[in-house]
Amino acid sequence: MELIGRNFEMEKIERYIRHEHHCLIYGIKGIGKTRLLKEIRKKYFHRTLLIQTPITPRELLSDISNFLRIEHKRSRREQMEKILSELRKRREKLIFLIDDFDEITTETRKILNKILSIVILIATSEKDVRLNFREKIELVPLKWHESKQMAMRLLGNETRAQVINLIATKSEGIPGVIFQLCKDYKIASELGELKSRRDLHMLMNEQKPCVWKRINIIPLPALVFLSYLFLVGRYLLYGIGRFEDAFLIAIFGYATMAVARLLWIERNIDE
Amino acid sequence: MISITHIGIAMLLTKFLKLSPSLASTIILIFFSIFPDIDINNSEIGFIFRPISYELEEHFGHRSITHSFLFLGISSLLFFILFPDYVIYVIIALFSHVFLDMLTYTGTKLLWPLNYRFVIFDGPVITGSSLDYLIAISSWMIYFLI
Repeated sequence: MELIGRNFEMEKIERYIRHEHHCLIYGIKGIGKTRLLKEIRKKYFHRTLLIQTPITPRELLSDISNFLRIEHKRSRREQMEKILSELRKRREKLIFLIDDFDEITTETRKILNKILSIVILIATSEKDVRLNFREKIELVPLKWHESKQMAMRLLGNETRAQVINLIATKSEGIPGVIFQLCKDYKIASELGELKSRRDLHMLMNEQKPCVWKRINIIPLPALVFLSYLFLVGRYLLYGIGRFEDAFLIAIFGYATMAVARLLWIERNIDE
Repeated sequence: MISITHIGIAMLLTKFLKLSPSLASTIILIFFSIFPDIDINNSEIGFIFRPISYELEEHFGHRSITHSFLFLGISSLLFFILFPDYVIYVIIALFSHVFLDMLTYTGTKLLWPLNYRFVIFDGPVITGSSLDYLIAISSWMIYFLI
Protein backbone atom coordinates (compact mmCIF):
# COMPACT_ATOMS: atom_id res chain seq x y z
CA MET A 1 0.00 0.00 0.00
CA GLU A 2 1.11 3.52 -0.84
CA LEU A 3 2.42 5.67 2.02
CA ILE A 4 -0.22 8.17 3.18
CA GLY A 5 0.37 11.55 4.78
CA ARG A 6 4.13 11.38 5.05
CA ASN A 7 5.14 13.32 1.93
CA PHE A 8 6.58 16.20 3.93
CA GLU A 9 8.72 13.89 6.09
CA MET A 10 9.82 11.93 3.02
CA GLU A 11 10.94 15.11 1.27
CA LYS A 12 12.85 16.16 4.36
CA ILE A 13 14.65 12.81 4.56
CA GLU A 14 15.54 12.93 0.87
CA ARG A 15 17.04 16.37 1.44
CA TYR A 16 19.06 15.08 4.41
CA ILE A 17 20.35 12.19 2.33
CA ARG A 18 21.40 14.61 -0.40
CA HIS A 19 23.24 16.75 2.17
CA GLU A 20 24.64 13.60 3.86
CA HIS A 21 23.16 14.36 7.29
CA HIS A 22 22.36 11.70 9.86
CA CYS A 23 18.70 11.67 10.80
CA LEU A 24 16.62 10.27 13.65
CA ILE A 25 12.94 9.56 13.14
CA TYR A 26 11.12 9.31 16.43
CA GLY A 27 7.56 8.97 17.64
CA ILE A 28 5.24 6.71 19.61
CA LYS A 29 4.63 3.04 18.85
CA GLY A 30 2.54 2.49 15.72
CA ILE A 31 3.07 5.98 14.34
CA GLY A 32 4.72 4.59 11.17
CA LYS A 33 8.47 4.89 11.76
CA THR A 34 9.35 1.47 10.35
CA ARG A 35 6.99 2.00 7.43
CA LEU A 36 8.80 5.23 6.57
CA LEU A 37 12.14 3.45 6.83
CA LYS A 38 10.93 0.78 4.42
CA GLU A 39 9.85 3.50 2.00
CA ILE A 40 13.36 4.99 2.10
CA ARG A 41 14.80 1.54 1.47
CA LYS A 42 12.54 1.13 -1.54
CA LYS A 43 13.70 4.46 -2.95
CA TYR A 44 17.45 4.00 -2.34
CA PHE A 45 17.56 0.22 -2.57
CA HIS A 46 20.99 0.01 -4.22
CA ARG A 47 22.75 1.86 -1.39
CA THR A 48 20.79 1.02 1.75
CA LEU A 49 21.43 -1.54 4.42
CA LEU A 50 18.52 -2.23 6.78
CA ILE A 51 19.70 -3.22 10.23
CA GLN A 52 17.18 -4.85 12.55
CA THR A 53 17.78 -4.56 16.27
CA PRO A 54 18.69 -6.04 18.72
CA ILE A 55 21.99 -6.80 17.03
CA THR A 56 25.37 -7.85 18.42
CA PRO A 57 28.60 -6.18 17.18
CA ARG A 58 29.60 -9.41 15.40
CA GLU A 59 26.24 -9.64 13.63
CA LEU A 60 26.49 -6.00 12.60
CA LEU A 61 29.95 -6.46 11.12
CA SER A 62 28.81 -9.59 9.37
CA ASP A 63 25.77 -7.80 7.89
CA ILE A 64 27.91 -4.94 6.60
CA SER A 65 30.51 -7.35 5.19
CA ASN A 66 27.83 -9.33 3.38
CA PHE A 67 26.38 -6.17 1.91
CA LEU A 68 29.80 -4.95 0.75
CA ARG A 69 30.72 -8.49 -0.37
CA ILE A 70 33.83 -8.60 1.77
CA GLU A 71 35.26 -11.86 2.95
CA HIS A 72 35.01 -12.49 6.69
CA LYS A 73 38.22 -12.00 8.67
CA ARG A 74 39.13 -13.79 11.85
CA SER A 75 39.61 -10.81 14.10
CA ARG A 76 37.08 -8.08 14.60
CA ARG A 77 39.72 -5.36 14.15
CA GLU A 78 40.81 -6.68 10.76
CA GLN A 79 37.21 -6.95 9.68
CA MET A 80 36.56 -3.40 10.80
CA GLU A 81 39.56 -2.05 8.91
CA LYS A 82 38.54 -3.85 5.77
CA ILE A 83 35.01 -2.45 6.07
CA LEU A 84 36.28 1.08 6.63
CA SER A 85 38.57 0.96 3.62
CA GLU A 86 35.79 -0.45 1.48
CA LEU A 87 33.32 2.21 2.63
CA ARG A 88 35.82 4.99 1.89
CA LYS A 89 36.25 3.73 -1.66
CA ARG A 90 32.55 4.18 -2.48
CA ARG A 91 31.56 7.12 -4.62
CA GLU A 92 28.17 7.50 -2.93
CA LYS A 93 27.87 7.19 0.83
CA LEU A 94 26.10 4.08 2.03
CA ILE A 95 22.80 4.62 3.91
CA PHE A 96 22.38 2.65 7.12
CA LEU A 97 18.76 2.26 8.19
CA ILE A 98 18.44 1.20 11.79
CA ASP A 99 15.06 0.24 13.18
CA ASP A 100 14.54 0.75 16.95
CA PHE A 101 17.84 2.48 17.56
CA ASP A 102 17.13 2.67 21.32
CA GLU A 103 17.57 -1.11 21.52
CA ILE A 104 21.16 -0.98 20.29
CA THR A 105 23.85 -1.98 22.80
CA THR A 106 26.78 0.23 23.78
CA GLU A 107 29.24 -2.08 21.98
CA THR A 108 27.32 -1.88 18.72
CA ARG A 109 27.03 1.87 19.16
CA LYS A 110 30.84 2.11 19.41
CA ILE A 111 31.21 0.37 16.05
CA LEU A 112 28.65 2.72 14.53
CA ASN A 113 30.53 5.70 15.93
CA LYS A 114 33.63 4.59 14.03
CA ILE A 115 31.89 4.51 10.67
CA LEU A 116 29.61 7.49 11.26
CA SER A 117 31.70 9.86 9.15
CA ILE A 118 31.62 7.65 6.06
CA VAL A 119 27.98 6.55 6.01
CA ILE A 120 24.57 8.22 6.31
CA LEU A 121 22.65 6.98 9.30
CA ILE A 122 18.86 7.05 9.37
CA ALA A 123 17.39 5.53 12.51
CA THR A 124 14.06 5.18 14.22
CA SER A 125 13.38 5.29 17.92
CA GLU A 126 10.46 5.73 20.28
CA LYS A 127 12.32 8.42 22.18
CA ASP A 128 14.98 10.95 21.39
CA VAL A 129 18.41 9.26 21.74
CA ARG A 130 21.91 10.54 22.44
CA LEU A 131 23.99 10.21 19.30
CA ASN A 132 25.36 12.60 16.79
CA PHE A 133 22.13 13.01 14.82
CA ARG A 134 22.15 16.33 13.07
CA GLU A 135 18.52 16.15 12.03
CA LYS A 136 15.54 14.87 13.96
CA ILE A 137 12.03 14.27 12.74
CA GLU A 138 9.14 13.65 15.10
CA LEU A 139 6.32 11.75 13.47
CA VAL A 140 2.90 13.14 14.38
CA PRO A 141 -0.50 11.44 13.91
CA LEU A 142 -2.17 11.56 10.52
CA LYS A 143 -4.75 14.23 9.84
CA TRP A 144 -8.46 13.34 9.91
CA HIS A 145 -8.81 13.08 6.11
CA GLU A 146 -5.58 11.09 5.83
CA SER A 147 -6.77 8.62 8.46
CA LYS A 148 -10.03 8.24 6.55
CA GLN A 149 -8.10 7.75 3.33
CA MET A 150 -5.97 5.04 4.92
CA ALA A 151 -9.00 3.24 6.38
CA MET A 152 -10.72 3.46 2.99
CA ARG A 153 -7.68 1.93 1.27
CA LEU A 154 -7.60 -0.93 3.77
CA LEU A 155 -11.33 -1.67 3.76
CA GLY A 156 -12.34 -0.67 0.25
CA ASN A 157 -14.31 2.29 -1.07
CA GLU A 158 -17.70 0.60 -0.60
CA THR A 159 -17.34 0.56 3.21
CA ARG A 160 -19.94 2.60 5.12
CA ALA A 161 -18.96 6.16 6.06
CA GLN A 162 -19.88 5.40 9.70
CA VAL A 163 -17.17 2.74 9.88
CA ILE A 164 -14.53 4.90 8.23
CA ASN A 165 -15.32 7.89 10.46
CA LEU A 166 -15.29 5.79 13.60
CA ILE A 167 -11.95 4.20 12.73
CA ALA A 168 -10.44 7.60 11.90
CA THR A 169 -11.67 9.02 15.22
CA LYS A 170 -10.83 6.07 17.46
CA SER A 171 -7.32 5.71 16.03
CA GLU A 172 -6.55 9.40 16.67
CA GLY A 173 -4.53 9.32 13.43
CA ILE A 174 -2.09 6.64 14.54
CA PRO A 175 -1.50 4.39 11.49
CA GLY A 176 -0.77 1.26 13.55
CA VAL A 177 -4.12 1.60 15.32
CA ILE A 178 -5.97 2.27 12.04
CA PHE A 179 -4.49 -0.95 10.68
CA GLN A 180 -5.49 -2.91 13.79
CA LEU A 181 -9.04 -1.50 13.84
CA CYS A 182 -9.53 -2.28 10.15
CA LYS A 183 -8.34 -5.84 10.75
CA ASP A 184 -10.73 -6.22 13.72
CA TYR A 185 -13.60 -4.83 11.65
CA LYS A 186 -12.88 -7.19 8.76
CA ILE A 187 -12.81 -10.25 11.03
CA ALA A 188 -15.97 -9.21 12.91
CA SER A 189 -17.89 -8.49 9.71
CA GLU A 190 -16.81 -11.80 8.18
CA LEU A 191 -18.06 -13.58 11.29
CA GLY A 192 -21.36 -11.66 11.04
CA GLU A 193 -20.94 -10.08 14.48
CA LEU A 194 -21.81 -6.57 13.38
CA LYS A 195 -25.59 -6.47 13.20
CA SER A 196 -26.19 -2.94 14.39
CA ARG A 197 -24.46 0.39 14.85
CA ARG A 198 -24.14 -0.39 18.55
CA ASP A 199 -22.19 -3.59 17.76
CA LEU A 200 -19.81 -1.57 15.64
CA HIS A 201 -19.25 0.97 18.43
CA MET A 202 -18.76 -1.82 20.97
CA LEU A 203 -16.16 -3.45 18.74
CA MET A 204 -14.24 -0.20 18.34
CA ASN A 205 -14.42 0.53 22.06
CA GLU A 206 -12.69 -2.78 22.78
CA GLN A 207 -9.48 -1.22 21.44
CA LYS A 208 -7.37 0.38 24.16
CA PRO A 209 -7.65 4.16 23.86
CA CYS A 210 -4.60 5.57 22.16
CA VAL A 211 -2.95 8.70 23.41
CA TRP A 212 -0.48 10.62 21.31
CA LYS A 213 0.63 13.32 23.72
CA ARG A 214 -0.28 13.60 27.37
CA ILE A 215 0.33 16.82 29.20
CA ASN A 216 0.41 16.52 32.94
CA ILE A 217 -0.84 19.88 34.24
CA ILE A 218 -0.37 19.12 37.94
CA PRO A 219 2.27 16.45 38.66
CA LEU A 220 1.70 14.05 41.54
CA PRO A 221 4.38 15.58 43.83
CA ALA A 222 2.44 18.84 43.63
CA LEU A 223 -0.34 17.15 45.60
CA VAL A 224 1.78 17.31 48.76
CA PHE A 225 2.68 20.92 48.10
CA LEU A 226 -0.97 21.82 47.46
CA SER A 227 -2.18 20.13 50.63
CA TYR A 228 0.55 21.96 52.57
CA LEU A 229 -0.53 25.24 50.98
CA PHE A 230 -4.18 24.49 51.80
CA LEU A 231 -3.47 23.78 55.46
CA VAL A 232 -1.21 26.81 55.86
CA GLY A 233 -3.74 29.03 54.07
CA ARG A 234 -6.55 27.72 56.25
CA TYR A 235 -4.54 28.46 59.37
CA LEU A 236 -3.41 31.91 58.28
CA LEU A 237 -6.71 33.08 56.82
CA TYR A 238 -9.27 31.51 59.13
CA GLY A 239 -7.20 30.36 62.09
CA ILE A 240 -8.44 26.75 61.62
CA GLY A 241 -6.12 23.86 62.53
CA ARG A 242 -2.49 23.99 63.57
CA PHE A 243 0.44 25.34 61.64
CA GLU A 244 2.54 22.29 62.58
CA ASP A 245 0.07 19.94 60.84
CA ALA A 246 0.97 21.48 57.52
CA PHE A 247 4.68 20.87 58.14
CA LEU A 248 3.98 17.29 59.19
CA ILE A 249 1.98 16.67 56.01
CA ALA A 250 4.76 18.11 53.85
CA ILE A 251 7.55 16.18 55.61
CA PHE A 252 5.60 12.91 55.57
CA GLY A 253 4.63 13.40 51.91
CA TYR A 254 8.11 14.22 50.68
CA ALA A 255 9.67 11.41 52.74
CA THR A 256 7.19 8.91 51.27
CA MET A 257 7.98 10.11 47.78
CA ALA A 258 11.73 9.85 48.41
CA VAL A 259 11.37 6.26 49.67
CA ALA A 260 9.14 5.38 46.71
CA ARG A 261 11.69 6.88 44.33
CA LEU A 262 14.52 4.90 45.94
CA LEU A 263 12.52 1.68 45.71
CA TRP A 264 11.70 2.44 42.10
CA ILE A 265 15.38 2.96 41.25
CA GLU A 266 16.29 -0.25 43.07
CA ARG A 267 13.64 -2.19 41.18
CA ASN A 268 14.92 -0.84 37.87
CA ILE A 269 18.50 -1.84 38.77
CA ASP A 270 17.30 -5.35 39.69
CA GLU A 271 15.49 -5.70 36.41
CA MET B 1 -15.21 8.16 35.47
CA ILE B 2 -18.59 6.64 36.23
CA SER B 3 -21.70 8.83 36.41
CA ILE B 4 -22.25 8.51 40.18
CA THR B 5 -18.73 9.89 40.76
CA HIS B 6 -19.48 12.91 38.58
CA ILE B 7 -22.81 13.57 40.28
CA GLY B 8 -21.38 12.98 43.76
CA ILE B 9 -18.48 15.38 43.31
CA ALA B 10 -20.71 18.05 41.73
CA MET B 11 -23.17 17.76 44.65
CA LEU B 12 -20.31 17.92 47.13
CA LEU B 13 -18.96 21.07 45.52
CA THR B 14 -22.29 22.83 45.97
CA LYS B 15 -22.06 21.97 49.67
CA PHE B 16 -18.50 23.28 49.92
CA LEU B 17 -19.47 26.49 48.16
CA LYS B 18 -22.36 26.82 50.61
CA LEU B 19 -25.00 26.89 47.87
CA SER B 20 -28.51 25.70 48.58
CA PRO B 21 -29.84 24.42 45.27
CA SER B 22 -33.57 24.19 44.61
CA LEU B 23 -35.10 21.12 42.98
CA ALA B 24 -34.70 22.63 39.51
CA SER B 25 -31.07 23.57 40.22
CA THR B 26 -30.33 20.07 41.52
CA ILE B 27 -31.80 18.52 38.37
CA ILE B 28 -29.73 20.87 36.22
CA LEU B 29 -26.63 20.08 38.28
CA ILE B 30 -27.12 16.33 37.94
CA PHE B 31 -27.91 16.57 34.23
CA PHE B 32 -24.91 18.74 33.38
CA SER B 33 -22.53 16.79 35.58
CA ILE B 34 -22.98 13.80 33.26
CA PHE B 35 -23.79 15.72 30.08
CA PRO B 36 -20.23 15.85 28.62
CA ASP B 37 -20.33 12.04 28.34
CA ILE B 38 -22.90 12.37 25.58
CA ASP B 39 -19.98 11.77 23.21
CA ILE B 40 -19.91 8.04 23.98
CA ASN B 41 -22.79 5.61 23.66
CA ASN B 42 -21.61 3.47 26.61
CA SER B 43 -22.58 6.17 29.08
CA GLU B 44 -26.07 6.61 30.52
CA ILE B 45 -26.58 10.00 28.88
CA GLY B 46 -25.15 8.70 25.62
CA PHE B 47 -27.57 5.80 25.69
CA ILE B 48 -30.55 8.15 26.15
CA PHE B 49 -29.48 10.50 23.36
CA ARG B 50 -28.33 7.67 21.14
CA PRO B 51 -28.36 9.11 17.63
CA ILE B 52 -26.47 12.19 18.85
CA SER B 53 -23.94 10.17 20.84
CA TYR B 54 -23.24 7.93 17.82
CA GLU B 55 -22.59 10.94 15.61
CA LEU B 56 -20.41 12.67 18.21
CA GLU B 57 -18.39 9.53 18.81
CA GLU B 58 -17.87 8.94 15.11
CA HIS B 59 -16.87 12.49 14.25
CA PHE B 60 -15.06 13.80 17.31
CA GLY B 61 -14.31 10.90 19.64
CA HIS B 62 -14.70 10.54 23.39
CA ARG B 63 -13.49 13.31 25.73
CA SER B 64 -12.87 15.73 22.91
CA ILE B 65 -15.35 18.45 21.94
CA THR B 66 -17.69 18.09 24.94
CA HIS B 67 -14.76 18.09 27.35
CA SER B 68 -13.06 21.17 25.93
CA PHE B 69 -12.77 24.77 27.08
CA LEU B 70 -14.63 25.72 23.92
CA PHE B 71 -17.71 23.74 24.91
CA LEU B 72 -17.47 24.77 28.57
CA GLY B 73 -17.21 28.43 27.59
CA ILE B 74 -20.04 28.39 25.08
CA SER B 75 -22.47 26.46 27.29
CA SER B 76 -21.69 28.65 30.32
CA LEU B 77 -22.16 31.79 28.23
CA LEU B 78 -25.47 30.49 26.83
CA PHE B 79 -26.78 29.78 30.31
CA PHE B 80 -25.52 33.13 31.52
CA ILE B 81 -27.61 34.85 28.82
CA LEU B 82 -30.69 32.62 28.97
CA PHE B 83 -30.93 31.40 32.59
CA PRO B 84 -28.53 33.46 34.73
CA ASP B 85 -29.88 31.95 37.99
CA TYR B 86 -28.66 28.49 37.04
CA VAL B 87 -25.32 29.37 35.46
CA ILE B 88 -23.30 28.63 38.62
CA TYR B 89 -24.68 25.07 38.75
CA VAL B 90 -23.89 24.50 35.08
CA ILE B 91 -20.34 25.77 35.59
CA ILE B 92 -19.81 23.59 38.69
CA ALA B 93 -21.24 20.52 36.94
CA LEU B 94 -19.29 20.88 33.70
CA PHE B 95 -15.98 21.92 35.20
CA SER B 96 -16.07 19.22 37.88
CA HIS B 97 -16.78 16.64 35.17
CA VAL B 98 -13.83 17.71 33.05
CA PHE B 99 -11.57 18.01 36.10
CA LEU B 100 -12.48 14.48 37.22
CA ASP B 101 -11.93 13.04 33.77
CA MET B 102 -8.48 14.58 33.82
CA LEU B 103 -7.71 12.23 36.69
CA THR B 104 -7.92 9.28 34.29
CA TYR B 105 -4.96 8.02 32.26
CA THR B 106 -6.32 9.16 28.88
CA GLY B 107 -7.27 12.61 30.18
CA THR B 108 -9.31 15.09 28.19
CA LYS B 109 -8.72 17.20 25.11
CA LEU B 110 -9.09 20.51 26.91
CA LEU B 111 -7.79 22.50 23.97
CA TRP B 112 -9.79 20.67 21.32
CA PRO B 113 -9.37 20.77 18.28
CA LEU B 114 -5.72 20.40 19.31
CA ASN B 115 -4.82 16.75 19.81
CA TYR B 116 -3.13 17.10 23.22
CA ARG B 117 -4.65 15.26 26.17
CA PHE B 118 -4.42 16.89 29.56
CA VAL B 119 -4.16 14.96 32.80
CA ILE B 120 -3.60 15.85 36.43
CA PHE B 121 -1.59 13.91 39.02
CA ASP B 122 -0.37 11.62 36.16
CA GLY B 123 -3.91 10.28 35.63
CA PRO B 124 -4.02 7.53 38.26
CA VAL B 125 -7.71 6.56 37.94
CA ILE B 126 -9.14 3.95 35.56
CA THR B 127 -12.83 4.36 34.73
CA GLY B 128 -14.91 1.79 36.59
CA SER B 129 -11.99 0.73 38.78
CA SER B 130 -12.14 0.38 42.57
CA LEU B 131 -10.51 3.81 42.94
CA ASP B 132 -13.29 5.31 40.84
CA TYR B 133 -15.92 3.71 43.08
CA LEU B 134 -13.97 4.77 46.17
CA ILE B 135 -14.08 8.41 45.04
CA ALA B 136 -17.81 8.06 44.32
CA ILE B 137 -18.64 6.48 47.69
CA SER B 138 -16.47 8.93 49.65
CA SER B 139 -17.98 11.95 47.88
CA TRP B 140 -21.51 10.77 48.66
CA MET B 141 -20.60 9.91 52.25
CA ILE B 142 -19.01 13.33 52.84
CA TYR B 143 -22.03 14.97 51.18
CA PHE B 144 -24.47 13.32 53.56
CA LEU B 145 -22.26 13.62 56.64
CA ILE B 146 -21.45 17.35 56.35
